[in-house]
Amino acid sequence: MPDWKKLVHERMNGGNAVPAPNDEVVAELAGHLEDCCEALRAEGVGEQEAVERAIGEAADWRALARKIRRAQRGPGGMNERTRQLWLPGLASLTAGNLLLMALSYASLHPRMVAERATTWFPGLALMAAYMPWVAAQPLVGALGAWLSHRAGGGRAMRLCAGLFPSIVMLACWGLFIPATAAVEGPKWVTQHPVYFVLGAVAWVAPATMGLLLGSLPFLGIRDLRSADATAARPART
Amino acid sequence: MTTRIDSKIARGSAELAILALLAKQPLYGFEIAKRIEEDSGGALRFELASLYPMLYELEKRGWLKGQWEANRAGRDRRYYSLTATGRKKLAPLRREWKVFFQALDRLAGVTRA
Repeated sequence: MPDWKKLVHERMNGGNAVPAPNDEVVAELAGHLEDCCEALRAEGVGEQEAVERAIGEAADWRALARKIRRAQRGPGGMNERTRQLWLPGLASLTAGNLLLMALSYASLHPRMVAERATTWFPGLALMAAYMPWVAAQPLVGALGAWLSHRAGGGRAMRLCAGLFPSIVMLACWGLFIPATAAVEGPKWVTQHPVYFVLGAVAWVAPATMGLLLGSLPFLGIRDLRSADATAARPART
Repeated sequence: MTTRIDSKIARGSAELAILALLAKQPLYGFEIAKRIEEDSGGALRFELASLYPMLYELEKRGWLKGQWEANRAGRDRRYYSLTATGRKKLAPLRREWKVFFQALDRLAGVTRA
């Protein structure tokens, strides 16, 4: 019996023209050839012929090496979760933050309203200052959910991608800010817990509602794969 | 609600065959190929060149999980089993194929022949 691992490695490597897959893949394919050869031998096939027929399971070993590498990388070198959640989520987060920057630079935030509101309801100042940003959240949520839908994401993925900026914001208020306060000593978070809670609510709740509103149209629609199949159906004659 | 058929029929059939087989028990590559050939009465056959790229792709998608274990002969083989995601994908795939065959039957009378 040949050294199956060596044989697979040499054939897949193809004189170094194509890098061989990792050792685990080589070992797995070698095991398959070994089992295949033994099964043929059990059927009464001669050793030489059994070896040749086993090797013949792959007509082009270098093409197989390329196919395996592509399969292991996933489509576009990314896995499904990256395409359906992380990238759409980051896109919506970036869009939301860029919008906030643009609004701030354009001085669109209503300072007067914020200052007046502070006198009777301090927490409202935060909401009022970023009202245009909150109003634009449906577009941001729609962007995340749409990108996830385009990548074939399921309903849960589309929802998470649409709400991603709020999830990050919630993490900031729930984890990072308290952690920072804990490390730096008792600052405003511990001295003014009501302000902290109001701030968290102002930054997370309205934005979440807006993002959800924008995501909703993309939550009920069917998967893109099914839509493709519909498009591929021949026209009725 | 109407269930529609995925356009990638051939690819889907291979996925369904593998997922349905692994839903029963974990198997390694050679066993998967052998069982598909036996259970389909020789009508379906997976060669090494088509089987492993598909297994790796399904694993990459998170539908399968591979784990090295010794087989009955004491040799290390990579056993594949369905993940929770893979189990979730199996039911819609089965439904799609059922609708496909029903549609084909209405069109060409394949099961009445």
